[in-house]
Amino acid sequence: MNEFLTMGGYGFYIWTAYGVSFLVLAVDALVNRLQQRKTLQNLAQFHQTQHNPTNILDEH
Amino acid sequence: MMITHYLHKIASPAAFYLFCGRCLPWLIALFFIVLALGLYGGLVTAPADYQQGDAFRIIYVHVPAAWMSLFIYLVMAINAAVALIWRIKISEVIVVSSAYIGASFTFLALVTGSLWGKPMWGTWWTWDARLTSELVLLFLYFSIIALYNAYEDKRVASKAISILALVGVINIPIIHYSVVWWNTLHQGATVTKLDKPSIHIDMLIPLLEMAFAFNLYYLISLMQRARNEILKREFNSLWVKKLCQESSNE
Repeated sequence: MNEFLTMGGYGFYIWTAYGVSFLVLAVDALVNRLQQRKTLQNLAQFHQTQHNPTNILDEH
Repeated sequence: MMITHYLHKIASPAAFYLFCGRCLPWLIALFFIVLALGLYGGLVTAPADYQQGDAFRIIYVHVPAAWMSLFIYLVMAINAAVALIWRIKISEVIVVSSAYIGASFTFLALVTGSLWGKPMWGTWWTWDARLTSELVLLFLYFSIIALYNAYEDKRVASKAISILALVGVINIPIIHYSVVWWNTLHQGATVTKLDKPSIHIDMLIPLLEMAFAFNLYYLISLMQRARNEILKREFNSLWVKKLCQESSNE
């Protein structure tokens, strides 16, 4: 196990490279999720104040 | 005939939004499976390199990230051309939605390359052709994002970044052939060449798995951003109204 972590003396470089990679992808995924939530909230608010939802289907 | 019909249908924002929503859970599950396989293969089962020892294992994040940085740019450029010529809305959305994840992978290619360069070459950075042209690519992605956010009207913004993306495509062959055309510390192509790959099969398989995993992540991130962008652009259309109504009833 220790051998696996030290990676023949290159542990620092390898684990930093893998760590940064997954950090960047995780942040990207989080940003996407937060933005989607914000957009849906804004839309819900917009459509609630603009129209009475029950009338929309009748109009068209 | 059936394919054009299908493409026409999927290119409508509402259909594209629903299609992506249905695909995403499966893509995410597949991503984690392929990622686990690639990581296990790359970090555990692949033998150490005879020259570089275990340090070569950085290849499994560095090379897929670098491939993605180029591939995503090509996807962007193709969609930029489609958006400019046929004004297809989905293509406009794909151009801007790819820019963020493209910039992320380019950043990763540079950082992991630096972390590989220090123990192998003895330096974090050198101003040679490969590294410099990849850095130019990162700045290209940044300018595309900045230019898009500078416009209030998103259809005008899309036109502007499409032109920029097409001009910047000149950088892609420069990056790919930089290690052939100029003297450099960076090694030549190992896999993406006409000859047989000069890497052992036990080392190659995890590399292809990681590349597939990164491709899946690109698709996931692209679909999530595209869905968000579509909602913002189509906020006043009937199908978005219905969508809001359905979600508020739940």
